[in-house]
Amino acid sequence: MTNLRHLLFGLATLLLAGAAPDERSAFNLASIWQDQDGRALKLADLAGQPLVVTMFYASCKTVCPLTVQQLQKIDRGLTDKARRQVRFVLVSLDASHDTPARLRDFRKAQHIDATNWVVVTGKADAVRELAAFLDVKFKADAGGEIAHSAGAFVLDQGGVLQVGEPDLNGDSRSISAALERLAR
Amino acid sequence: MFITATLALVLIPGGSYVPFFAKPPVPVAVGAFFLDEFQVTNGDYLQFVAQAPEWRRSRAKRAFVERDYLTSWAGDTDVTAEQIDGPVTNVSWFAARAYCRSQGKRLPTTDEWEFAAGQTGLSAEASKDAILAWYGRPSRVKLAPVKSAPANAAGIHGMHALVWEWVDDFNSSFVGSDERFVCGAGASEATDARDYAAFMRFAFRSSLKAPYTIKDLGFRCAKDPPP
Repeated sequence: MTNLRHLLFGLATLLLAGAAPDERSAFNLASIWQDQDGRALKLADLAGQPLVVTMFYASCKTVCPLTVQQLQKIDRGLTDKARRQVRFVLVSLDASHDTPARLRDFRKAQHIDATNWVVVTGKADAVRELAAFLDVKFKADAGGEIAHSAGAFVLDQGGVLQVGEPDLNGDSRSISAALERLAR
Repeated sequence: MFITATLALVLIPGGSYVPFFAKPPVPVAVGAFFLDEFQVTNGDYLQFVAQAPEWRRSRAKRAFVERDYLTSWAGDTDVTAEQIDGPVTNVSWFAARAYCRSQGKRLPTTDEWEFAAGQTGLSAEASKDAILAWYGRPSRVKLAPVKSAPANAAGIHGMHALVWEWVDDFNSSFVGSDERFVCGAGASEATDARDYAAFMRFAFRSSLKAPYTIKDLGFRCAKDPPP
């Protein structure tokens, strides 16, 4: 019985991933990203799982590490069922510096060892597009710092935005609640 | 239907300008680039959607355009003779980007647009007056042909006429006054608080979201010079 349920769940996921995305979905963005090992990845490859998306950059010393810690706290607070399904997706804003090797260092420094965390970098054009889609504002200054709006965005299994939380340092219960609701 | 070609690019030699918000408040270098002589017209955009059905009004995805996309058109490929030479409006950032890409071009950056727009050929005071006079004029239902807008000293028509324009990094215009929301550098400061026209453009860009399709917002494309 359990096997059958797993099989059905797997089939449903496959069907969801194969179908054309909802017209509002982030999976309509065709950009290709790279993870810490240089593996290529499209957002649509993550279809079928609730996602928490945040934009960051590796050399950021002020708010970004705090944001990661807040997300880790949310991750630890999830029920086992939700935790098995949810993927945390960190997308770099720093296309010119954040190589896969730097993402590897960032993961180490931030103690991101869980496999349900996806950390990726991409071309400047792709970064600008995803930020525009999520309504993330950002601007690099001459010193290499990137001022940006910090926040996290919950996408459902089909890539449709469910919750945007501009301030993770306040109340992040809206994120946890959305993830629990989406976890099936 | 006769469509006037409005796709000429003008070379803008590099230089520098002082952005409205900057930290530190020093001139920013702008490299040489090409910029469309005119705003993209309804006629230009009609040719684009003829080739790219996924960008027709009935087909464009909600991730990329709001409901008002191309709302002044009578149908998917119906543009009146009156509209054809006027600037296309009710287009989102995604749509403007897709159009420019189809031409082998891109949207200009904020710095490029402001640098080109600053070459008014007028004194600072006269140019402020002229720009604010346009901002203060009520918008028209029918937009005049893009070729009717005067050229500035750089040879670019209509930088301060007819419609506002998308730039590629519109989402770099924001004021990080609330430290909790902003990571990285602290708040920038106005470099010339008297430049009210520049402030209005900054504030307008900061209010935009990428799928917005606004009546008074069009665009023109840019291109890198050959290496």
